[in-house]
Formats: sequence, C-alpha cells, structure tokens
Amino acid sequence: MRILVIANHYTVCSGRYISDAFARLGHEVRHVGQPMGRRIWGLDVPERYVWMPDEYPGDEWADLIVIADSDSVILDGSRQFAQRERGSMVVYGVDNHVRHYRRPWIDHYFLAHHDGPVQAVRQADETWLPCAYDPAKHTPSPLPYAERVYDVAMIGVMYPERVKLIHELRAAGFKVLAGTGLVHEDYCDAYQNARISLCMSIAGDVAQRVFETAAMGCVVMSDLARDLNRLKPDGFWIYDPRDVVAGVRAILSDPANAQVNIALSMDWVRAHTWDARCQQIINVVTEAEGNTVPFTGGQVLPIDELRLLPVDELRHITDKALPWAKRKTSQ
Amino acid sequence: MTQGLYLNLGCGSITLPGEKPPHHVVVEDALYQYPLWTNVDWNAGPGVDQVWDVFRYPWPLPSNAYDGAFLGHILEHCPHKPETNDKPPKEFQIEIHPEPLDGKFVPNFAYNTPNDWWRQRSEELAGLQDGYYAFLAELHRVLRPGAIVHILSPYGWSQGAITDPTHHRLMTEQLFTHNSDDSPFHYRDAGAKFEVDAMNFQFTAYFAHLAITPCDGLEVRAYKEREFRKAIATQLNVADNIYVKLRAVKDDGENHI
Repeated sequence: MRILVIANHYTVCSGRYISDAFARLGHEVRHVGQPMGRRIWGLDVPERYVWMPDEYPGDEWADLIVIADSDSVILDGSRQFAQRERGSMVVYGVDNHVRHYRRPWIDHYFLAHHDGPVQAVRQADETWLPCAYDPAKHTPSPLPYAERVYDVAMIGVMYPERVKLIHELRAAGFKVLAGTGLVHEDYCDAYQNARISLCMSIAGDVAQRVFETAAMGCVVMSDLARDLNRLKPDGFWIYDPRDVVAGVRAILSDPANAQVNIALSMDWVRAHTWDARCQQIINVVTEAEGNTVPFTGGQVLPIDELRLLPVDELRHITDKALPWAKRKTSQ
Repeated sequence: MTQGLYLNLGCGSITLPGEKPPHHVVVEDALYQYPLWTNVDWNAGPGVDQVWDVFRYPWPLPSNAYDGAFLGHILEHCPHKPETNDKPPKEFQIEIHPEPLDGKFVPNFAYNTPNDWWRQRSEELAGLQDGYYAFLAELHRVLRPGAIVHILSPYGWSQGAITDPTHHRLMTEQLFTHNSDDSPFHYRDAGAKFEVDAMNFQFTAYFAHLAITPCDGLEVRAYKEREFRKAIATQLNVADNIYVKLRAVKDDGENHI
C-alpha cells in the first residue's frame, strides 16, 4: 500500500514513528510536511536527529493518507485531498485530551486517549489507538539491573510539579537523571541505564514514555493516568502521589521483586509497538477481517536476552508486594 | 552508548543541570534542564565534575564528544597569551578503568592519548594569534559537528565589562565574525569554524523600552530595531549582557587524534 504521512517534521513526533512502522510492515511510505529543524522543547537537539520531509509525490499518489499532527493548519489544509477519487484519509491524534481533530472530510480518527476529554472515542468513526514504542529503537537494556547507574530517570518537559518531585528524590539521596532534551539514541541510553522510569502525567494522559521505558526494561512507576484502567498494564507500580520517595525506596530495596515487575511489564508491552498500531490502522481502513482486535502483531521483544529470573517462577512474589505501592489497576 | 553530554566550562558555582540564575535571564530556559553535563572549573566545589584550568591547552577532553556547551561569564576572562601543557594535567596521568565517571560516560581521554599528541597539539595552539583562538580551537575539537555553544558574557560597552579587572577582552556582536573568511583580518586561528545561530541582548534599565515584545506590530518592531542599532553603536550601557549561540561547523571525520 502507498501511504502518505503528513506531519510537521519535528525530530520527535508520532509522524516519524508511524512512518518508520509502516515501512517495516512493507508499505511504500512518503512523509511530507514542514521541516521543523533541530529545535524542540526549547532546545537545539543534535543535527543528526533532524527529520527531513520527502519530496511531495502528488495528490493522487497515496492509497492512504495519515495526518499525524495536531496542527490546525495541517488539519484545515487537508481539505485539498477531499476531492480525491480513491483511498482514505485518516487522522492519528495523540493530543485528543487537549485538541479536537474533527473535520468533515476526514474518514476516520485514531485517537490516543480513550476518554479525551476534548475529543473522546464515542463515534463510529473514532478508534482508540494509544501511543506505543518503537521496537527498533526502544530495545531492552543491555545493562544488568544491579549495574545501572541511575536509580530513577525522568526525561521530559520539566514542569514545576516534576521539578519539585526530582528535588525530593535527590534530597532523599537517590541518583536521579532528569531533564529535557535527550532524544532518540541519547534518550534510550539514559533509560537503559536507569532502574526506575518515573512517569508523572500533567493532564491525566498516559505518556508514550510508559510504553518505551517498559520495553527498555525499567520498572515503570506511574501515577494513575486515565487510560491505565483500559490498558491494564502488568508490572507497573502505581505510586502514591503523597509519598513518591517511599515508593522509590520500596522498589529499590527489593531488587528481585523489581525484576519481576520488569519481566511482567516487558511481557505486557510486547504487543504495544508502533507496528501493531499501524497494522490496526490498515485493518480498520481496509475493513480486514478481525480488525476489531486491537494491539496484535508487531515485533516480539527478545526478553530472554535479559538477565532475569524466569517469569513463571517468580509470579508468586508479586502477591507479597507492598499493597499501597503496587496497586493493580485492574481485577 | 551515545550520551549527548554538554560542557559547562568555567562553571564556578553555577553547575548544571540546575536552577537558572536570575542574571541569566536572556539565556534559553531549557538549557538549565538538560540532564547530562560535565561541569568544569579550576576550583573544586559542589557539582563540579572535573577540576582543571580551561585556559591551559590542550584540554583533557576527547574529540568530537560533546553535543553542546555553555560558557557563562567565562570567555571574557580568557587571557591573550595561550598557555599550553605538553603533557596531560597531573591529576589525569593515572590509569582509570574505562567505566562511567559518576554516571557520565567520559572516557579517560588524557591517559589514553599518546604523549606526542599532547606535544604536537600544544605546539599548534601555542602558535595561534591569541589565547581566544586557542580556546575556540579546543572547543571546536571537543564538540560534535553542529553542536551549539551558548555564550553569555558582559556586553563590551557596559560598566560590567569594563570595570572588572580580570576581564581580558570586551565582547561585542562583531567578535564572532571578526576572523571570518570574508574579513580583512586573517589571524592564526587553527581553522576552527563557528557560525552565529542567534544573538540576543539583555538591556539595561535605561534602554529596556527597546526590547521587542510579542504585542509589537511590524512598524514598532522596525522602529525599536532601528533605535537599538543606533544606540548600541553610539552609547555605553545599552546592554548588560550579550547572549550568543554559535554552531560548530565541522565534518564528521574531523578529529585531532
């Protein structure tokens, strides 16, 4: 299938991930849009990570057009494709918790957050499709858990609430890597050298980071973001916001249990690749049989490369986990 | 591991990542939140990762290793005569196992490079026109292609720049293009190429009215820009500080080892 991805070409964006994933699935992909250079989150990232657009292949080239951006200029400008004679035009929206994507000429909406709240998944032309991880980039850490340098890592925009949390953790004596501006391989290096991935949502949304860092073999410590009840992650630590320091201390004091959680979350996250998301888009658009089954397909993680104890042998340990520090989000 | 480290040279008490000091108002906020830094100063202190003199060359740092740098109120202190070492600083002349130094993946470059490299490099830098060019040559060597250097210094025509007796040079907007290819000056600078990506000024209170705000229309912006150019060319104490972003222009293969 010929797929045209339209997005502002930031160095880190969902358009880049799904372009790569569609290509891995064997489709012919072109990605077009405004080149945004190396500037993101107020910093200039290394030039080697800049994402440049392809040459525009023409209005009638694509079998499927995927708009992977929240920019209203792009969404409004997509009207030019409304008169096409063939193929679908869909939106993949990661910001439906704060933006609305609906336009009369769009055929289908794939939205990252089920309950919005700005555009929730309610209509027949809306499908819930959360973020994911890139199996080619977010590979399991080659570093044994005990040898990693950082206790906690939090790479992202440093809102004041996050800065306060980081200060508390550092004051408690933990080794914390936190900040803005590490992308791609540098981002992966950072998390692969950390034991805990600390995720704090600002708008109640599930961050892409939970998938990526679970795949890289961190203990994912998250607040109770909205969609976690639907995603039902295994092995996550849902922290008590009143005392994150105690939660970190509990995780680090029991390395065996932490590694159980890593194994469980890596097992859970296997299906949550960008490849699987893109296959779901193809399934819906082509009305393929079985297209209502989400999160299937994609590459399998080689978790047997990790120096972990066998998962089956250790499952019973999870029952003994501290009850407040590891609240299951389901069952 | 790629580890996109940034260098904070002559950091003093402002180690990074950390809180943005109030007098750094004109510098980009996000720089202070970047997580991976090597803080260097000749005084040991909290947060200082390496202790050596940034005005002695060459630096005990690997080539093509850093994705960015911050020079906060340091470049104006650079002496005119380049001081060189023909061997690594004493504290680096010991074997250190090739493992992370407190979480930062900086290899023991100084120990692992041959002494004849130090001699050759120090001779090369000693022969440059001015210590400023030796500093920039070393900065160019250790940075990766396209790396951004954030420079904050007192603006040359200001009280703060002129009064401090430890300042060796006055920093103005023309400094960074003074020895460019189309300049009539051809100083010996080791060929270290930087391009100016952005420049900003921190106005003094007397000229704060010339700062462009988001509310300004095109005509107001043009007026302020004209008045600013006139003021900066003819008056003192228009700006307290100058903030410049330089981009290292080099090929991937440029390596002095």
